[in-house]
Amino acid sequence: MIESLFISLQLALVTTVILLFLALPLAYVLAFKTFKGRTVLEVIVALPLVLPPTVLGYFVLLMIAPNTGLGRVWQSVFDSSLAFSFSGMVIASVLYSLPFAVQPMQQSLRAIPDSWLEMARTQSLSLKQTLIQVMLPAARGGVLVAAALSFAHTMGEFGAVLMVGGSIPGETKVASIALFEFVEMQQQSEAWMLALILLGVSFVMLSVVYTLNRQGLNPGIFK
Amino acid sequence: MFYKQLMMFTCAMVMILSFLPSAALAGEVLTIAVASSWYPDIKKQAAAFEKQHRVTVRLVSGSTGRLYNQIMQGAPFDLFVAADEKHSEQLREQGKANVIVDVGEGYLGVMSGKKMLSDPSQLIDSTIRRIAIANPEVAPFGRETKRLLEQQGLWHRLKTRFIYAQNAMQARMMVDKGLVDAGFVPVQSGADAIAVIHYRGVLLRDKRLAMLWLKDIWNTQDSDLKQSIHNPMLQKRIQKEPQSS
Repeated sequence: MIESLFISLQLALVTTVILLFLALPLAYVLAFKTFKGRTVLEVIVALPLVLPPTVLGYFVLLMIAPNTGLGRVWQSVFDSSLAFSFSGMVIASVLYSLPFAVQPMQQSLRAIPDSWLEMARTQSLSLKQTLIQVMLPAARGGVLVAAALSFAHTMGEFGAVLMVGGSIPGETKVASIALFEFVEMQQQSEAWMLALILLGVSFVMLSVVYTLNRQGLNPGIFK
Repeated sequence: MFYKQLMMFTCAMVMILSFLPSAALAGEVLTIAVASSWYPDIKKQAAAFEKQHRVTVRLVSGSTGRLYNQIMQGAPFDLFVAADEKHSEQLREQGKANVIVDVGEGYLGVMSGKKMLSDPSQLIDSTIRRIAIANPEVAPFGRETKRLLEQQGLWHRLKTRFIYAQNAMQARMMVDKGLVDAGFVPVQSGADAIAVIHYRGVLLRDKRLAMLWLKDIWNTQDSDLKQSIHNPMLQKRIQKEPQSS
């Protein structure tokens, strides 16, 4: 039981870190740029919100199976299967939680007052400087919400990781799957304890999100 | 302000704690896919095996059909304990396995509440409204149930009341928890069983440890095998019915 919790935590952390780096450029593009196909990009990013997790898991599994594309490359480089591995699960998780990372960041970037961005332009700040000195501090609420939501959402993953990971203890058996199997095998006390722990974790994560929301996804006064 | 600091502290603790070594893997690791119906028994045997040989045994449970699919998709199992002959033979045909051993037996029974019924025809009773059955497409217990019911001409009459479980153990859970009125489930003794399920151990990787485990499980189950053959009722059933495939 504890082992599965560790796997879930590790998965959630790794996924969140990767997503923060992946989602920022996407959020930036969607917040500030207009171009042909912009809506398509927005839809693709939002897809995991409504797509049944098993559909996502199915496509990821196809992608990482040892006889095709990405799976075959991985096999030749690392001499191990990408399917049914922790890394395979990370791929599925990143896609699964993508909109939870992009959208809060996108919103808070868009909420930055135009005057601030203009000021940055008058000061001839480069894009990198604008990003680091103006945008990120102003949007830090959104970044934190993105991190918290990605983390919490990944902790709750079930269908996609089951298909891609296969529930191997100590490697891909996450807490949500462990709980399901405890119920199946009628291990009452383990099921009960694990459910409580997961409930507690979700509660804490959401408290973080809503506390931050109080400070607004909008840029607040610099402390 | 304090609340915020508490949050940050909690987050930091979570981050630190989650990267503690999650399990000290003792020595070599054996990954075994086990049909769900035999999982509780195998768990005990695996724990003893771990202590004896100072290795780590990871068990993955599920319906035989689903585990077979995962093996075909490249799942990293060293061994597969299937609840039927069909899937183990298919693996041999696919070139994934060359050593297949009979490792033990299980029993399919009809249970209603805590009672075991001796005959499926007793289910025709209209007070029995929901009947659990393991999905025949992926679970040998379900497939065997379907075969027997079709043989007795009961399948179509009972079909409308079936609740399909993902695997045999889930069906058993539904019966034990009273979620259904009756079910076709794995049972402990052969006394009132309606069918015998033959478990087959399939070697998927050429690992000495895996061979050792196969031998070990065969020895452990040997005594049960001997017992069941001496059960006269079961003996009669085995003689009457054709071999399940």
